[in-house]
Amino acid sequence: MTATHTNTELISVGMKSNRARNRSRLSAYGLVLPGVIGLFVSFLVPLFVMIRMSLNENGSGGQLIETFTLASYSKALSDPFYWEVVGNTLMLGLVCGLSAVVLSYPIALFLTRTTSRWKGVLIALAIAPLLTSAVARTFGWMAILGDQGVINAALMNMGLLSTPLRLSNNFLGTSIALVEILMPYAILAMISGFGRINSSLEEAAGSLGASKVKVFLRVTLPLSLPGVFTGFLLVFVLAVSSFVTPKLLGGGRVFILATEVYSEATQTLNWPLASALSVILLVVFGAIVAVYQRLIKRFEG
Amino acid sequence: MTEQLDPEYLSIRNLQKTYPKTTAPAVNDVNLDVQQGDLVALLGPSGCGKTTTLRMVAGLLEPTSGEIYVNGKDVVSTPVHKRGMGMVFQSYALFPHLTVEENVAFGLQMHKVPRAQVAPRTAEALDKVQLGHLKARKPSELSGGQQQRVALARALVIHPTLLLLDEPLSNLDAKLREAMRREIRNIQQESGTTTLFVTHDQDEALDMADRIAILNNGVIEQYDRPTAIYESPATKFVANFVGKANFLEVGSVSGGAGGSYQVQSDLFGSFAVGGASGIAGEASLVVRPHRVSVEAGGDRLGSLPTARARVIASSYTGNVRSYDLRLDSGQVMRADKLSSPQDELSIGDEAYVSFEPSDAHLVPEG
Amino acid sequence: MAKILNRIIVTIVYLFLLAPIIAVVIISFNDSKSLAIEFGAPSFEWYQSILVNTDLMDGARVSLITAVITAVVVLLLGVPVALAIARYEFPGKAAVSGFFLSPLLVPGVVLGLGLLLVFQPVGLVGTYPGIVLAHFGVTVPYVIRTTLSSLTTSDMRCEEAARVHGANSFTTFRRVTLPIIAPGILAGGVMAFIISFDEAVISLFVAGSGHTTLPVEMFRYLQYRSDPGLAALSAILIALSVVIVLIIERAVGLRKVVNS
Repeated sequence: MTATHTNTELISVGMKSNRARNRSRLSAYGLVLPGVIGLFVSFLVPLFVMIRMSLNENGSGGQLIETFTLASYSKALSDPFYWEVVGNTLMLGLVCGLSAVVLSYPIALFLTRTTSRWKGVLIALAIAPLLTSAVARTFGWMAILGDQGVINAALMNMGLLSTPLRLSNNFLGTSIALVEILMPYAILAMISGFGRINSSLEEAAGSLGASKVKVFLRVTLPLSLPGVFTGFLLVFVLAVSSFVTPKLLGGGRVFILATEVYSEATQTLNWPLASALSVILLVVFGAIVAVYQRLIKRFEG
Repeated sequence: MTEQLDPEYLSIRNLQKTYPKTTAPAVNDVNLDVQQGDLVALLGPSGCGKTTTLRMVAGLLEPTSGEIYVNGKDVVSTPVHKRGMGMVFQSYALFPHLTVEENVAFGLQMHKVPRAQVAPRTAEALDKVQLGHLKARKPSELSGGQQQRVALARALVIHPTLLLLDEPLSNLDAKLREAMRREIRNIQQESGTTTLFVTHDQDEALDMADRIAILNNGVIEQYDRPTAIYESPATKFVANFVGKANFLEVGSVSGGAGGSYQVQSDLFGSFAVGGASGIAGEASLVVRPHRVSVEAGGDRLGSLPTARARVIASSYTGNVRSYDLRLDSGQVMRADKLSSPQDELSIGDEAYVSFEPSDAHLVPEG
Repeated sequence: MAKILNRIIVTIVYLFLLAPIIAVVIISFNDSKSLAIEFGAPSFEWYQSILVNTDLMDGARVSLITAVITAVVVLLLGVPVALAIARYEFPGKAAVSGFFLSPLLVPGVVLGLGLLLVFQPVGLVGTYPGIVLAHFGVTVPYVIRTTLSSLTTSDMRCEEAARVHGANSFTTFRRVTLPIIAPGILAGGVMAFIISFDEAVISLFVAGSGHTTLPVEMFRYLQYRSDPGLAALSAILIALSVVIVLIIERAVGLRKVVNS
């Protein structure tokens, strides 16, 4: 076999290989394309149109003026009301995140450890609320917390109260309902994060003479922190972007970014302002996710 | 290669595979000729390129360069499903949603075998692996050995151009593995199917294969019959990988015509041995532990190469007693003896080790 | 002692978690307009009133239709994407998988507003195609996730075995891959159905005033009234989701669907 012969053969094989790779890439793109187009139209285009809209101007008569201006942003950021709205939004996230984590921790730990044959059922019970309508569950809380609701009616019937407790149409009621609605996410995040907690580690610590409290504080808690952290941020982020519950249980008295976006978009019909508020919400949201990813990296690294 | 092979049914020429994002080739210039009806084992440690080679023959991997001829035709550009091969995977890879019978019939349906022939050929293949009575079961309801046999039936039922076995026995327990070796070998010989068999287990390769290709770092170190691989290893790697080996340093080597050398050793003296061809310069002498004789105290044994040694360790496995002996040069040699209660050496005993020059084999150093 | 305390805490948290569901079911049998818990004989009055409420029943019909169409469309478009990500190497793969998870990182009101702005000029507000398109983005990540997890946990060697034994790529997919990952696809489809059926926020923006989905009708109903009628409807929805949960549990196991 001459050298040139070998060379041409090498080239021809190389081409064959390239052609096969191209064919495989082509079929991959073919598989992906319809979905990408679907998501492009239903997700990316709306986002861009919304960002573009935030740069338009709302005329004095309510008519839309196509232009490039930051007027809506400056309006939003110079108005103390909207600063309060951003503050409320973050506060709601914080309160819900912390409460959900504190309440979910014992359940998640219990579900991780239990060897009961009801484990599957118990896990299903804890996360089943995820699969029931959020509107229905919000209504459930309206019925429980309302002025004539389950709690107030019971307390007044027993003669313990003469005027109802203010449990709904405010921040408190919204927080209670949101915590319950978002808890399943925290429980799930913690259960998967708790996978690293090994009962033999705890037993080892116990056999070395550590008390139960010490075992918990020195072994269990540190090992469970990443799961707790993920659970907290998940609830935080979902609470910050929640709408149905604050709108219904807030009774029009809880003002967060999501409710303001909705009212500007559908009642005031100030689309540029609604869009600017949406962009602000996106930025807040993105900042939280970015901080989260930073922290998680530090946790694991 | 010393022997001319013909007719070559499977020919692999200059086969090379470099994975994307790596520089060192996983398979580097592999050449292999397989005669029709033979079972050839690709033997080597993990990462030696044996599975990569097999997957290229199957068509599951695209070679970077090289040709693969089956029955005289280059199949590199033939898509996997048109190569007509049969394959048994390490995990068996039975279709979990199909019954045993449907698994075996799969290839026949794919190759458009007339409907009337599918059932009888499936039944025949299942009978051959003695699983006819389990044809309605799902794979998950079978034991590991049974799944293995279904996989074999599925591969053979299509009368494959080539049977490819990828570590088919490594998921079975030791006893079953030995029985399956026999069974696979019998079925393979009965059907006369040319077979490529990937394994990291030297016993499997020696027991089952007509020829063995030893792979190391993507290169074939030696391709020969099992006895030749064991008795006349071409390289130190082969001698070490297949069976146990002592490597003795030799002072000088001369000759080489017809694979016969004259060696000069400080401890064992001067004698003639066989060896791999073309050795010049540094070389080692391979002596298998069970071919080493050990005599307590005593005189030097006649004309055999003999050296004085001291027992430094000994182990016992029932039928065999192994000694580690330190020679005067400091080198440690292992000797395996069939055990007998009479002549046992103790640690610290002085002894003489010797071997027949015809039991020794010279390999190049490095 | 500590163990008993632990049990009590866990029980209380479970009660809190299930409180709205329990409350809704009990209240739905009230025979007055009261939302308090009544200890009388159960009444089916509110169930009857719900079943003749045309707004809500129309909403249920619209939701059912959109949820079914959404699930089918999302499966048709999402499963191939999961297949490409799991089984092919191609430039831009990481970008594609990130893209398909990104809708989960955008709050519903933001996406809802964007969709409203796009739909308004082209007349898609309040139409079936509009709602299905709006639900596509928020459901497709789940289908891709469940399908991907089925694909990555299934033995790829099965597909290789099919190809070696004579099946081309399409036949391999149809005869081997698809049946093996079917439970994951089913789970993804059911998730898409449930999310679409329950979705309220985005629908509120794009539903318009004409026929709208059930959660939007419920939302509107609640803004002006609160009576046990909605409890009856919620109880029906809860019962339906229990049935669906049981189906998924039977088919694949619940944890596999929600976890990943």
